[in-house]
Amino acid sequence: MFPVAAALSFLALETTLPNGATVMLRPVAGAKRFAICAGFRGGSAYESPTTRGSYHLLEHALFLNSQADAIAEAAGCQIYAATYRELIIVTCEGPSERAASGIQAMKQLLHPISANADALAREREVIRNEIAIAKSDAKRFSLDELWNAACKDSPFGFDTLGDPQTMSQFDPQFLNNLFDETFCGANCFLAFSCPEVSVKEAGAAVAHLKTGAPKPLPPFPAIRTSRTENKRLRGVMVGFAMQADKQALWSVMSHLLRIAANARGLEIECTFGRASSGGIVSFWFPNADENAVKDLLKSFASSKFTETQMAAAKRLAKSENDPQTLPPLEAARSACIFGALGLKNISSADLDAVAASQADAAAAAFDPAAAVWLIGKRQ
Amino acid sequence: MMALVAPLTFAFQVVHLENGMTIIAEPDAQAHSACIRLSIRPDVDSTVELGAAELVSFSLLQEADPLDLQTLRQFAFLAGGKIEPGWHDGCISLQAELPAQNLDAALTLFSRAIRKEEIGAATCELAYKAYWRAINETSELPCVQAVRDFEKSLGIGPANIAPMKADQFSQLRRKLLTPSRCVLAMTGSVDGAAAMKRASELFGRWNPTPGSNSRLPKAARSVGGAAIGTIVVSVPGPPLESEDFPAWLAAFCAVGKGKTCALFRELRVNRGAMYTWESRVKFCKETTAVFAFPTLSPTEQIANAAREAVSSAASMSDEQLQISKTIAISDYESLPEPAGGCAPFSQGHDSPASKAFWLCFWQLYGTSAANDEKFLLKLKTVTPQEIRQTWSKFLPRMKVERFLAEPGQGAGRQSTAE
Repeated sequence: MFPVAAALSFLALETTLPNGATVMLRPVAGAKRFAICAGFRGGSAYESPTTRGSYHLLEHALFLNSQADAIAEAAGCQIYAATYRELIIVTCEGPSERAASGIQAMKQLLHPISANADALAREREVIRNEIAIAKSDAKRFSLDELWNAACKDSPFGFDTLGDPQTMSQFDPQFLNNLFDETFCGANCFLAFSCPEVSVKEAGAAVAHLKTGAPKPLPPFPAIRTSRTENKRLRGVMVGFAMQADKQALWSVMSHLLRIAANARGLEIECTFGRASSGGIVSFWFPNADENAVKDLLKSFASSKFTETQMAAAKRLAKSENDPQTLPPLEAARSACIFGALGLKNISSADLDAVAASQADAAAAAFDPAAAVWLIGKRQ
Repeated sequence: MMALVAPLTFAFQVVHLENGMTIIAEPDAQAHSACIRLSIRPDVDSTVELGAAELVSFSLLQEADPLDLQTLRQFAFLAGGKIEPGWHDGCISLQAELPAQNLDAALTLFSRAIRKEEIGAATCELAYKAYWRAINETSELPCVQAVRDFEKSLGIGPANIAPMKADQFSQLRRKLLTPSRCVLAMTGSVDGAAAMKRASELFGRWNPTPGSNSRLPKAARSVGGAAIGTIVVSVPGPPLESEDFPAWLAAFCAVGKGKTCALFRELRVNRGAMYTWESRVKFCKETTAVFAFPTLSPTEQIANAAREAVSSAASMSDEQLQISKTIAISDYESLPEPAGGCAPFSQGHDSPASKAFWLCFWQLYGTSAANDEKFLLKLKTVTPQEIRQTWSKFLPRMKVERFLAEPGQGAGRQSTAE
């Protein structure tokens, strides 16, 4: 057992395994639950029109014939996975005292697929259901539309769920080749949040993977501004390009905008779509009209922020990013995403260092003309 | 002081006021914020009355001083919390998660909101708009409208209500919002004794004149439906305080919780007929398990497969049922709050908000907040044999229903089986 005292539990510990996998500990002192997140480079931004959905199908196929679910659930844990644009993330969480079972379940899951063609055909039906559900959720669907409009002609504009028609071409052999190049040590970034687990113990979840070769991160395209009307939305969604090397600044800016919106009685939700070399931060204003959001953004873009506003925004940003206060799942997930995308973690010190003058300058980026707009027309 | 009884049991303090209201405090010095939750379980019987109670929940903060409310919301927001009214399973609630120093202001706001006897026409209209917007906004999401229709047909879910005049709405509020069916729970970084004293003073003044719920109007309006079909299955269950309930809950988990559950294995792994599914326990009128999954193939064959999967908990192996029990215990002890808000047996006891939820829940549905801890002990001792027997007892009253996709038209019920 690694001697991580509760009092020092906020100290992060990192190592690289012999197979190249990066293992990061983010212990959350006193947490009743553990979380383990393994991020692998791969996803829709790595696809072409002829391979759309291959990573998503592979992610589903991992679970077919695997004992991972049974091992996890017998210990009161859950194991699941999701495919994004540049990452596939496998997560296991459960009661802290059962962390060893979580590691075992993760290890069991990360093996070449053993499903036959029939099982894959059934899984494609599952994915057809998943896509239909996603499309029936106007907000979720709109977020994909926003990315599609912003990153047109780039794989970053592809829907992460893929295309079932294209997926029918992928046989077990194809998927296992993809497994070998994706689920390998060189592409693996594992984060674990449990005070009682050592780097060596956590690393056992991925130590069996082949070394493989690291996947280069795809370049993020220049964002195309646009304005699209959407009959299913009731509200306004707006997205802005985000610089990958200014994560702390963008986190503070998002909260400054939330505070400004709140003061005007506008509801607002913020989503960070992080990419290795860029990203889109999007804001959803439910039930708002276009002019109200435009007025807010115009005024915000020319703001001079007070120290009180800065302090409030930083406090909120810390609550979202500070590993000392994040719940175990968010702590592990955040470390995994930032590590895999090669981004610098947002620390409290980084947030404290954001000056009001920087925020004043950054606010100009919220010019309504620089945004991707989806205007809801639902009455 | 209005308190009649003030015993100290477990980690919480409880006070019963003369007007019948119960106040509970469970301080936690380690918590970063405080939570107050006010829950009322009105005495309603029909789906129309349930609908009326749902509508009333949208009116609770409409007449609060906008400046007070906005200021408090800002404090809560800056602390990562929120203040919101809610409706769940026949229960009207108000909840605030905020810094402990704002607790007094929040208690004052809540007591004023709840004691308001006359509602103006403007408030009535605002409440109705908010109510209908909430129904509309979720109606296109998979399962939501189908489950709402299904629960209404079982008499355990609300009917949609038409607008009413201010005087009728005021009568309705007075009928439904009664102290004897109200629990206030205060958790997290609260000073237990001071909070208890202040809450007793504020809510001790609540003595409403009786109201009525005559001539409740059902809405003629219909809402849109999801673009994907849904299959819904229900199985009734024993009352919460029954000796059978823990075994029944373990069987419920064997059918619909986790990825080793019967529904997942049969409908998703073996048939590819679903992606995700919902399983919930409802406590309106009688305990009911509701399982629902959106599917592109809402056929008779898939409905029959769902029926068989739900029945299978009565014949599962000891090993499988042991897993289900472990899931039930783990969820109850430490599962984070569900994203959509509080739900019984789908969240643990980690945050001040979850603790406040469970204190209110056990007091309102299970006779005493002390049952919270007792229940866990009972659940741990349930045997596989008891799980199979209990589920078998209730299976004859299982219901299965298919809802087809009718985009923009409302999910149309096609047929009823069993």
